[in-house]
Amino acid sequence: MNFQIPKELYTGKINSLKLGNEKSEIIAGGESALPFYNFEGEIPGKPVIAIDVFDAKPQNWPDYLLDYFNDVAEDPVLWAKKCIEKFNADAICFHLTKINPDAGTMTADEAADIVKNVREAIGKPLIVYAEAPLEIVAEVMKKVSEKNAGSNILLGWVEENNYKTLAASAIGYKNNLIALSPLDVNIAKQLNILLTQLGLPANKIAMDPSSSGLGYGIEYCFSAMERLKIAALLQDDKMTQMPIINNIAEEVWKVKEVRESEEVYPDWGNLEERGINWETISVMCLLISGSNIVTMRHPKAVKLVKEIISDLLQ
Amino acid sequence: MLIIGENISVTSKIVGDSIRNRDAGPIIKMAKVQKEAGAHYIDVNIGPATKNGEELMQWVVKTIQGEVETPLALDTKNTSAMEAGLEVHKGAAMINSVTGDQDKLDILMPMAKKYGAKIVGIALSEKGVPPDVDSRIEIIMNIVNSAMEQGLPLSDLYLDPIVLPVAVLQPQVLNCIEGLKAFKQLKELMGLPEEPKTIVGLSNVSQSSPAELKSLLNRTYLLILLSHGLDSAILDPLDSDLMHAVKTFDILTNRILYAHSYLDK
Repeated sequence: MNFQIPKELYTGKINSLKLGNEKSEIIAGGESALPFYNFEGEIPGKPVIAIDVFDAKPQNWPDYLLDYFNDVAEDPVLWAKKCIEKFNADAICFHLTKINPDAGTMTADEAADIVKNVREAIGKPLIVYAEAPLEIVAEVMKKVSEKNAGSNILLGWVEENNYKTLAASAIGYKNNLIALSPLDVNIAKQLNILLTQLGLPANKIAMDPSSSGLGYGIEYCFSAMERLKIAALLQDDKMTQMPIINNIAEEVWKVKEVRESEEVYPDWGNLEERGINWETISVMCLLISGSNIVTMRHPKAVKLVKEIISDLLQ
Repeated sequence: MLIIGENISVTSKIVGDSIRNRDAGPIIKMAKVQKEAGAHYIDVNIGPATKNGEELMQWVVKTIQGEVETPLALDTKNTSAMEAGLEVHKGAAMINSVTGDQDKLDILMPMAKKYGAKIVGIALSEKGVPPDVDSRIEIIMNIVNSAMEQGLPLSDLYLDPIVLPVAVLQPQVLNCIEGLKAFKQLKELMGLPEEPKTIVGLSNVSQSSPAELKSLLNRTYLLILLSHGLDSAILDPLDSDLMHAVKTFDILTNRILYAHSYLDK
């Protein structure tokens, strides 16, 4: 008797999340098999690589990373265009930092305008993360959603205890929403139930289960995401079938392993090479545990990750 | 657990009238609400259907499947009406049911195979209700053998240890539990290539009991049977306490992921 490779039968499917519209449209999710198991089910698209762009020149990036963006770092529109045209980004993840009173004085209206400018300039999908206390996030993102109505931007973020304001504006202005949970599969599911009960369609939600970088607890993300994907695909649990987004770049680029020079740690080898590997390995860990959208920064890591994805999905 | 909604039965006056007068509205509505409540299959019991059984069954199947996307469990003693229903049924139907009698097995097993249908094998024979666990096993082994001979995949065979009313035959309620436990051992006992499934007609347990007890009896019994590995049940999906108990069982046995609002979705 010939040996037959056992195949898992999947009863569920990840929702197809439409990002962007018309020419810029791409679909995140939509798969009916565990990550990269395209021999067991359908994996219609590749994971979405979103490159980070900020509303101000980053103060804390290692020079070898910032060097790629120095010429555009004062202008988010140029920065975003460079990421797409030069570094092959599938989408832009735009971070609003100056809305936080500790960091700047940007108003909700100004934030909404700058998001609109970036979106209209890039012709690719836009993810927007507001980096501020949750009350400010809700207020700012409401305006962002209003001024970018119907453009299927992905708005970050809401939590279990504060979701109504922003969810209502995502529903009203037909945008997508990131549901953030603190590495807890039960809360992730609960938040999805609450959002859909409020009237947000299930296919307008991406789950952010919280991310940690390599060496800093990535294994917790791995198990949480694995559990969510198993519930979604094998148990056909509709309230876990939202695509997963990981805002991982922030976690990768703050650790000492990507910042300390070879002079300080001779055993660790070349700094830039180390940074590229750290980001590539962190991102790949999350992709093989089920991430559908990841944020990244280093152009060479982006290139490497895209090559690995293509190889795995061949 | 595979849930089969039991509410479309000629024994109910609304359904009886609806079928007699070929009045599609009420049965379509009953199929719809049961599906929305969580039924995977809708049982269609047209009774003995001695007159115009074939035409009647085809009308019911086409009427429901024309409006509601759901597979049906066809429930009649009239075997030619059964086949007529299978001919027009979309997707994998369920034949409900075949007893252990050889003449019935010889007709219905090949029919299940021909139409790719699931089939319920029930621990009943012409001698009536089996008095104990051993006679249940005897009948069921005959049914399993017949399925094997006909080449029916055992995963399409649903074995029913037969639920009887606690108000009338209390010891038989326990016999059914013991029967189920024994059926779960058949794969090993008979050296079967795969495990046949199990099923019960749940509401029988509360027949003849007062209305206010029925839901409690049904759901308590279902939880006992589920904990012994029951795969499927024909039940009233509109009993929300019962459906909540099923969901809670799945939560407590780690089959679905917990969330505070798990009952809502």
